[in-house]
Amino acid sequence: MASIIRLKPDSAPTTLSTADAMDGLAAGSGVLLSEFDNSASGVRWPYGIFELSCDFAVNPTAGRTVNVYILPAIDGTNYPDQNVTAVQSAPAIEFVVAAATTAQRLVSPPVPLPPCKFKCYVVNDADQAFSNDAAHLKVLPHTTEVAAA
Amino acid sequence: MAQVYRLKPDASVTDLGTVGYNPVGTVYDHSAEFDNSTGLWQGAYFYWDVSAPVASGDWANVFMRISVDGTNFNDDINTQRQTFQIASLKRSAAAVAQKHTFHVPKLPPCKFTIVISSGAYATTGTLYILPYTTEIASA
Repeated sequence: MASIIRLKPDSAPTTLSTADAMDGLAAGSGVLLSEFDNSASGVRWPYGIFELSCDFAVNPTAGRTVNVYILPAIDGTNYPDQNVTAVQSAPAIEFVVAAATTAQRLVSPPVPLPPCKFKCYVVNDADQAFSNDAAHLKVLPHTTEVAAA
Repeated sequence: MAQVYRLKPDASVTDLGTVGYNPVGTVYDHSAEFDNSTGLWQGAYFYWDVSAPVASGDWANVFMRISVDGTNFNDDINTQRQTFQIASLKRSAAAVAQKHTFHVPKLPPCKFTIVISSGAYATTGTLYILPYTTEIASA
């Protein structure tokens, strides 16, 4: 019998930001979000789509970005450093923001996930602070499955 | 029954030894060899633990030297800079302990070593690798 390969998402997205973690995040500042454990058998998602929801009290300059760094703990314990000015490699995602004060919902293409625990470090590289309206970062993990055609 | 692809990491990390810029004789230290001709891992995450940098720096560039015949590696970046760069790490502006990670999504199916050129300042640290592949598991 022929088989086909389909995408297989998790049943629901996971919110990586604890309540109010990103509220009021100042321009040029970063925040470390809660851990996602991708190490357990039966999890180990290869990819994730990330959704950033935020708004600004003052229009940011169009084209500025909010950057997301994925920080893996490859031995299950030790994370790399995170800092807005140093000790970083390239961001995994650069969300380009609009010059607006209305709520913005920004979604990334699929991004590789590490097979271990990881945390996301969000840096507001736009030139205005987030407002205090429950900004969040979510991930929809997904893989592929082999299914009957 | 449907089956799904999952990431399958190695059981633990492998210590690849001390790697980084060595100021003596302008030699770039390379890591211990990782023999991927037997494990045949698809990708890897690396962790570079710099506990005591000698000086502050800017960017550290990461290169891979590959042995396609199991014996001979491509030229050292000390004299030949044609080696493929696989990552850039932004170093701390201060000479403080720092920890970096980087991801190589496609590993070669043979032996390789890692070279980290940490700029004009001497910095070495211990490099660890967590290789991974994918497995087909029950949904």
